[in-house]
Amino acid sequence: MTSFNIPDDRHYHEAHLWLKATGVPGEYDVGITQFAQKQLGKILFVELPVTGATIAAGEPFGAVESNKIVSDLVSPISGTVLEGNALLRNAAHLVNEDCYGQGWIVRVKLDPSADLAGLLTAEIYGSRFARISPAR
Amino acid sequence: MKHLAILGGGPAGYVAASHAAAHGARVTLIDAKPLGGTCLHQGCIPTKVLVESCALLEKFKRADAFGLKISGELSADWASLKGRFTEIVSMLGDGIDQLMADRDVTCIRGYGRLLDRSTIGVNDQTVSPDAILICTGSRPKAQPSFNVDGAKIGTSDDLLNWSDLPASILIIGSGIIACEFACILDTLGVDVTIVASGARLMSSADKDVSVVLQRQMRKRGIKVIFNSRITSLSHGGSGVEAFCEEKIIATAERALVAVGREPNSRDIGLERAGISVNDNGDIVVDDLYRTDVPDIYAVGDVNGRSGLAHAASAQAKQAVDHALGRRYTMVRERAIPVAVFTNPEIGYVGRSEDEAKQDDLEYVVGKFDLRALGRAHALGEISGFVKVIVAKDTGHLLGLHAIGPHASEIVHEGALVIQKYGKAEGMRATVHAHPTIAEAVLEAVEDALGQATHKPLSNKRQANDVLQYS
Repeated sequence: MTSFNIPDDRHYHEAHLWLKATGVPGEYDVGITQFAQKQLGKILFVELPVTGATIAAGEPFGAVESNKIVSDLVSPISGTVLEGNALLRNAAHLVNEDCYGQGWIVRVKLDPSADLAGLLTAEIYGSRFARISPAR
Repeated sequence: MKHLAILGGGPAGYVAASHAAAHGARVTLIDAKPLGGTCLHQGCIPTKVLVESCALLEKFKRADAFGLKISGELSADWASLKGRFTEIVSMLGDGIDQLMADRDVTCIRGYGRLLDRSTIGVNDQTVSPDAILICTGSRPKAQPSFNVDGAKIGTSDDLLNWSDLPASILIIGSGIIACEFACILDTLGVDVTIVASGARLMSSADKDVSVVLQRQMRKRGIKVIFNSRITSLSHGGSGVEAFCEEKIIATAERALVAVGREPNSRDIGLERAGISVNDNGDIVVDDLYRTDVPDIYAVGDVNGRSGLAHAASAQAKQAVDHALGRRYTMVRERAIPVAVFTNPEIGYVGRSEDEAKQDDLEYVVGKFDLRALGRAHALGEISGFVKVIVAKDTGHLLGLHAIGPHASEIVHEGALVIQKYGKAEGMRATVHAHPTIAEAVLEAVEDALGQATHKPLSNKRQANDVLQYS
């Protein structure tokens, strides 16, 4: 079984995205996990939502194109897009190289009603790999 | 021997002439311009010549990725590009002339008009045939407030005549012509901004097709402004300003107006013959393409049914067969394929998913991403997919939608199946050659029927949802 880095300073969503508080109340950065990044393969393009767009939990807000697949980014929470990671426009490979850092995808302002209770801790997200077949 | 007179020598008119003469009719073909129509002279053909140069240029730019070293400068030369399409257009035009000569079609160069229900006047002569086909086509639509002057603000007709290309351009429109020119001009180094009145490009295509097209355009730096209905264009500053009511929403050096086409139904004597048109000016026809007058047919763009050259040709053959009392096959409009030569290319036929929904059909969707195909990687063109829409209860193919390399060719598999009221199962059983883009059709059909060979197991996708195809 391949082991994956799952930092415990953030929340996780079952669609293999993470959310990390920026320090400003209500603001979170969102990215994809190392597991997702490995599954996708070489990432070629990230379609970012525009600033000001509203995103809804469970709805696609963008897409990641790799050399293997195009995958929708399904939002873990509801909120408003503060900015997309402009670095990715010309350097989508940052998602491969540093998915928990420079390869973040969007910064969102959570809706007041948004609930983080449905998200997973690093431990619980990590335990999922016991029942998911490892990356090919 | 029946005598057929045809007004207009485009893909409706000249094909009608060829078909009628081949089946024993005496044919008079009337057109003021060289034969071939908009398709040959201002449309399909010159733009496809440009598209091919652009495809080559794009590939050369990526030569490194293909393991090729090119030294020296690579650039497009507009004058030479025009020279190439002018030569090809001229050669194909000669071909049509020869075809007409081969079939002893009498070609009259002049502007023909109906004088009454059975007579056409052209130049100083009159023609009194047994039946008439009106094939006068269409022209670019442009409202007066767009101030089309041909130089700074032009239609597709004008653009092909420009002596140089601007540094930047606004393209007003979101359909086939707008999108094709956006891709061509972007490759040729023009800074392109599309202003679309709706929420997506290519609204006649399946939504998923628009998503990929828009994403590819964004990657290349083509800007698209959605939901903006331009009310006027004006010369301002050093270029053109586009207004939504009082507000300027975009500017560029020049503008291309591609907001649709309108039928050439005026000044051809319809009122003298008692032939009616609808509010759009389209000649009203029945399913046999007959106008209000027996023995006068209207086919192609002028009847407003399709706007595609191949649809015009198909309608023309049906009308000719009917006029000559031959057995005819009705054109099945649902089975007419659409080919769009954007980058990436688009091909579709039948119903989109939205149309299937509107028609209250129960359907399943199958989709296959081209980037899972070896051939797509070898081509270096991995963006795109094939999507099929299959009737849930009967398994009939309802629609096939492709975006990516060769999409305009592989769409014909779907066209044949839909034309023959065929089923997905037959497509699944058909062996598709490897390695081809057409394999995506097979995989998409397999996906619709349950499990594609090269997709993750459908029952695992829930757990592994990062691998779901968008």
